[in-house]
Amino acid sequence: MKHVFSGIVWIGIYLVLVLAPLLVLLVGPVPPGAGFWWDLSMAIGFAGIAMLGVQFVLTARFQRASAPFGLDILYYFHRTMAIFAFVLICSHYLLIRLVNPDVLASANPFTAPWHMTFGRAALLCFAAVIVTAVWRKPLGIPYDAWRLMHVLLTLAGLHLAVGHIEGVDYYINTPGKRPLWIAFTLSWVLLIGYVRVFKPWHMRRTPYRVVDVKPETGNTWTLAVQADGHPGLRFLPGQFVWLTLRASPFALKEHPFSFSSSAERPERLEFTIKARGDFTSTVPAIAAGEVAYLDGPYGAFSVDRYAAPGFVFIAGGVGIAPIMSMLRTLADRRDTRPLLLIHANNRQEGIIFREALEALQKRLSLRVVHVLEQPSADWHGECGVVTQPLLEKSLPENRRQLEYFLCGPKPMTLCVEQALLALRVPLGRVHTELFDLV
Amino acid sequence: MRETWARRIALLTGGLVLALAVVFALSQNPPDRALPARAPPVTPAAAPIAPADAALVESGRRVYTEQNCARCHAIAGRGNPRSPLDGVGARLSAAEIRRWIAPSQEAATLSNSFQARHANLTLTEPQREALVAYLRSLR
Repeated sequence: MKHVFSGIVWIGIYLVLVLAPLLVLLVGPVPPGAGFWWDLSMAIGFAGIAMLGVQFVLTARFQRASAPFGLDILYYFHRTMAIFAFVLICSHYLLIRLVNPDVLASANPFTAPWHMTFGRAALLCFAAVIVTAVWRKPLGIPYDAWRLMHVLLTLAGLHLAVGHIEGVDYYINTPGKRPLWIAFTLSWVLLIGYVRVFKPWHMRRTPYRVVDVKPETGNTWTLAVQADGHPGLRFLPGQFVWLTLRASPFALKEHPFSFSSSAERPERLEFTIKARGDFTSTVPAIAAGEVAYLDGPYGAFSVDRYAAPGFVFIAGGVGIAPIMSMLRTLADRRDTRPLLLIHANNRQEGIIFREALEALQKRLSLRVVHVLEQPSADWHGECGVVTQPLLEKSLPENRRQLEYFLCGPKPMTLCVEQALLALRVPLGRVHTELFDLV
Repeated sequence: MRETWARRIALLTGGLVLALAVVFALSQNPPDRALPARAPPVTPAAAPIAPADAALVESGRRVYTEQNCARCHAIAGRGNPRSPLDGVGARLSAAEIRRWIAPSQEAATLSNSFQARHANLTLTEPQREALVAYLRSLR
């Protein structure tokens, strides 16, 4: 309930931030009307830029503001709103193009006035931001390079757009409004200062040391770190951090990973990572004693947020990591509630944490169902993928009262969600962590 | 589930923003005082324009087009509706128009002055006089 209330408050704050520039346009002296479509075009141009400005707030990783929703969903929202705002500023241009093309005249930057060129350049920057974010993978842009590009292109776009607004000069040309616009622009600069300077500086002052890199099965590694000269952090089981290895926290080379260790043992933080991408493949080469920087914890994917008579965990491959953190935490707390884990893997020898799970079964009321997609001839357990009949067979009678945690590849998560829905499990009880948004 | 809520809030935000933009555009342009009614009617020039002047006015019209004046000005509903020039010939004298088109050093340095924007215009003497004649013909 606490999360619902604070969630509503934060959504209210977001709406005020997005709508404020438009409200400022509406109050006080405004130039006389210039035709409905003209004024609509100007209003949606302002609205679009206000929304794009607030985009920084969504991804600034404010812990308190993200807590009610989960940081992953804020990124998802950031992406949705970016596309909407881009459509708005395109419509701002297109409306003028249609209603009053004389105004636009030549697009040649050598003859057009600078503020019109700024506007066109801003539009191109934002188009590039959208294309590279939505199609990063098909375009083959490495993640680290993309992040840098994303920051630089948005900053360029926003400053060009503010230049365009300043140059056009109609709506902000009153003594009361100019300071507001300056404050609006300054707030971006302050926010960027907070995210890119203050936070990395703070991370540098609170470093961690790698104490162990241990191979698990299936090309997966568990990396353990300890706080170096400071109290460290506390987290909810199932949460994640942004981890920086072999780079400065200022370098924007951080990657999100879930804790796999118990939240009751915060002195040693563990992350279980599958070596598959450009960054994850460097993990096996990390040695004890190296420095690590953490930004977090974040995320709403945690048993601690729900009171339920029991929990069901459904993991695919390395998606077991955050679930392992929850199971280990519950074991450390001597939780007696009934738990079910459905763990899907490709092959028997690739099952991550098989022995650790067997050990946990002695400490918890935990039932584990392994499902293999490519079982060997001697496998007697479940085969194939997690389907509705398998869930129906495995879930207990009171399945509608339980809370469900799904973590795995997206196709699996979607299928399981559909199956649970078909089994009349309320969707509000099914929790997932969104990742791989770009 | 959370994605559904995120999409709902995105829709709510989008809807509110669009609604406010429409309210702004409507409040600026109430149906009873739509733009064409507000623009002063272009009355025929009181004195007939002499043929020599007519040529000058025509060449001024070309200067107006070449210099893309429509980026900031509108005549008879074409161009930027923010600064209509309809009837300017009746409101301003030739000397006043000249001062707008070619602002003094002092006016050109005033940062917030619309007059200052004309400082970027590069007009020859005959071009400027033709433009003045054209604008004077708008009554």
